[in-house]
Amino acid sequence: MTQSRDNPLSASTTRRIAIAGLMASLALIFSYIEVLIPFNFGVPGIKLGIANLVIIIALYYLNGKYALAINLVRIFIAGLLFSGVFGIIYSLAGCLLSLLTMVLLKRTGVFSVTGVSIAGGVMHNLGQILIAAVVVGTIRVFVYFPVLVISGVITGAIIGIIACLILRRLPGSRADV
Amino acid sequence: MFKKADIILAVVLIVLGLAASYLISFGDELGSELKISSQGSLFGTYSLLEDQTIKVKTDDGHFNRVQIRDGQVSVDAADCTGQDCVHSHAISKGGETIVCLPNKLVLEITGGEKAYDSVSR
Repeated sequence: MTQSRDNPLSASTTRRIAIAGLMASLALIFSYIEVLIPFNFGVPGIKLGIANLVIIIALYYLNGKYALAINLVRIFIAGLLFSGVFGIIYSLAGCLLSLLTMVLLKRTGVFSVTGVSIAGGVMHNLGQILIAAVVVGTIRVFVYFPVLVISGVITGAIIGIIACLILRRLPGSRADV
Repeated sequence: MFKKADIILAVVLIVLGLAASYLISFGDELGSELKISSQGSLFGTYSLLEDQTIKVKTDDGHFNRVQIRDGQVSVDAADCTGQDCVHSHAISKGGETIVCLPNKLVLEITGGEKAYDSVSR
């Protein structure tokens, strides 16, 4: 909570919870949009991850705990609605690793939103490839690693720039993001 | 929107990805094995990782000398007529072969096939 004391909304926990609820439903809608219109770059497993946009904004506008809660709600509901139990496991691995990385990098204060998002994008892909390695039972799935790292950098940068533009326009957010 | 650290991070990750792809493609070729068949039966299997020279002798006294160097397999000497095997290009990838018909010798690269057919989305 201390991370954004200059945020006028931080005075009211109720308002923050309400915002988190709105963000969770927005993330869910973004997940649905991505199911309807897959932003596919010709390689399986590569997604733009627009739901991650909401998570990053939650991380900066609220804090890491809210971002985690929004993420979990989104993953379980989207998983049950669109992809099934395996989808939930894949998403969980990617999103938790990604969020943990983003929280830690944000705390260093060295990186901007874009850098944090890039690291998050790469770690999201890494988490999924780790689960894939366990499921398929072979380390050979790591042949996809280079493609996923580079795509993670690109999608992470796109999401990060959008998040940056949105955060600047949100009332009460810091200008240095 | 961008800090210096962001760009450094992106560059480091991309370099890491490219380095990993280089290592993977490198490992694929060297991960294979050489299978030598002489006169219809298996003579032996050899790793391409070790540089070595193998002399394959037939029952009637003929020979082919097989050389493995830097993962490339070639026949560097033979007493067969024709010398087609000696003039064959070096082989290194799974499925490639060198054949010496007079001495009934078959060199075949095995393994190294890509084990990923499908990856779950």
